[in-house]
Amino acid sequence: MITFEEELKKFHKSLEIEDAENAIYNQDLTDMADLFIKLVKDYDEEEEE
Amino acid sequence: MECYNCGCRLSEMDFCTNCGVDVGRYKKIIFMANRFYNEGLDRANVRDLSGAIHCLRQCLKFNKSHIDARNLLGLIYYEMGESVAALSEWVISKNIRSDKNVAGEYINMIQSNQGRLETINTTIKKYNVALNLCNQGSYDLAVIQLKKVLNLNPKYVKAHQLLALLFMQRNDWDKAKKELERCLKIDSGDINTLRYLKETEQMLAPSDEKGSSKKKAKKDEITAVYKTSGNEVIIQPLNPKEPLGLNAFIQIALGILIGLCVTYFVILPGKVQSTRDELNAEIATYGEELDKKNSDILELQSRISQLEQSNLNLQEDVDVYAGTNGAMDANNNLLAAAYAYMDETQDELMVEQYLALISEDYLNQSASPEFMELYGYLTMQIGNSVSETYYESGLEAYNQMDYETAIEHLQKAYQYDPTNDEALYYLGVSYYDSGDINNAKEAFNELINVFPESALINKARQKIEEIGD
Repeated sequence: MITFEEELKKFHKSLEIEDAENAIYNQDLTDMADLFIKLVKDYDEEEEE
Repeated sequence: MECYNCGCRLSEMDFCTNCGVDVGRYKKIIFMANRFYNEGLDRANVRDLSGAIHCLRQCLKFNKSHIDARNLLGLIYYEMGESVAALSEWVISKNIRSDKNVAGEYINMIQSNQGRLETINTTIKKYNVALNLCNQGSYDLAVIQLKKVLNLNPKYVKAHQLLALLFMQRNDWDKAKKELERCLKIDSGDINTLRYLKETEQMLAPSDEKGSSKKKAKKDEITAVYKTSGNEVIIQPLNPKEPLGLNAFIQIALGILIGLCVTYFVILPGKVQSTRDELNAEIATYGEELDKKNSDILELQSRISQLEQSNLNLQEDVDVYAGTNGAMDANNNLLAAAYAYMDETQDELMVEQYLALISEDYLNQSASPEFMELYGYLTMQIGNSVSETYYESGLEAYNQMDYETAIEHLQKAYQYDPTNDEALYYLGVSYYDSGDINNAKEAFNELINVFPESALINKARQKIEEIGD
C-alpha cells in the first residue's frame, strides 16, 4: 500500500539553471580507475620503502 | 585504450608495451565500464530510461572519461525533462574532451535559443513551486501548477509522477492511471511509475470485480426462490412466465391507460406550459416592439408640432416681410408717389393718389422715421398745388350742391394745405348745408381757433350762432 506522505518525501527539488555551476563543481568524479591507480601507486611506494 | 601510467596505446597484452606497468586489472575496469555502457545503450533503445541511467552511472563510476556514456546520460536526462542535469553531464563531457565531442553541439543547441533556455528554467521553477505546495498541503494548487509544468514540458517524468500521486491521494484513480501511462511512454522502466501503476490498477480492478459479483449475486437472488417441503427442495422461479390471455390483455390495456394518464397529467401540462411560456415571451416581444413604436410615434408627433410651430414662425416672418400690416403696399405706394413726383410731367394729383393709398393706420403705427420723412416731404412739395386743385373742385361740387364730393375734396384741400382757411370754411358750410351740423360746428370752431385773423371768421361765428347749441 502506498502512503502519500512517504512517497512525497521521495520527490526532491530539481536543479535550476542557476545551480548548474555548483552541481558540476561539486560532482565527485572519482572512478574505479582512479582508485585502482592510487592503490597501485600506494602499493609501489610501500614496496620501495 | 591508453596506459594510465605513460599514456601509450595498450595492446592485447596485460602490461604496457612502453613502460611495462601491469594493466590487466585496469583493463578489466575499463571493460566493465564498457559493458555497463552497452547495457545502458540497450535499455535506452527500449525506452527503459531509468535502467539506462543506472547502467550509465555504473559505467561512469568505473570510467569517468567514457564520453559516449556521459553524453548518452545527458540525452536521457534531457528526454526526461531534467535539463540541468543533462547540461551538467554535457559540460563535464566537453571538459574532458573538447574536440570532436557531440556534447558541444548539444550545449550550443540549448544556449543559442534563449527562449528555450528560459522555458526550461521556468518549467523547473514551477515544478519546485508545485513540490513546495504539496509539502504545505495545498494539493489543489499543486495540481494546477503541475498541469502548467506539463504544458511547458510534456516529457517531465517527475512532474507526471507527482501529479499521478496527487490524483491517487484524491482517489481519482482514472486520472492517475492516465498520468502514469504517459510516464511509461517516456520511461518504461521507472520503478516508482510501475509501483504507482500497480496500486492504481489494484484500486480500479476490485470495484469492477465487486460490481460484477454483486450483479451476479443479484441475478442469482432474483432468479429463483428455494423452499423446503419435508425432505424435498422446491425451486420456485421468481419471474415465471405467465401464459398470455385475458390477464395479459388487461395488463396491456392497463399499461396503455397508465401511459395515457401520464401523458395527460404529466407530459401535456408541461407541453402546455412550455407553449404558454413561448407565447408569453412572444407577446412580451411584441409588447416591447409596440412600446418602441409608440415611443417613435410620440417622438414624431412632437417633431411635427415643432415643425408646425417653426412653420408658423416662418410664416409670420414672411408676413412681416410681405407686409401683412400694409408695410409692403405702403412702401410700394410711397415709391410710386416718389416716382410720379420725379416724372417730368409732375402730375401732382397722381402723386397725391398714391399717397392717399397709404393707410392712416400704417402711418400712425408702423411707418419708419425714414418713411415718414419721405412721405412728409412729398406731401409738402405737392401740398399747395393739390390743395388748390381740391379746393377748386370742392367749391365747384358745392356750387353744384354735390355736398358729398365737396366735403371730400375740401377735406383734402385742407389736409394738403393746413393754412387754407377758405377750404376749412367751405368744408364747414358743406357740412352745414348737407345737414351734418356737428361736423359743421367743429369745422367752424377750428377755423375760429386756428385762424383768428381770417377774413372768414365772422361768417364762421354767424354760422355757429345759426346752429346754436
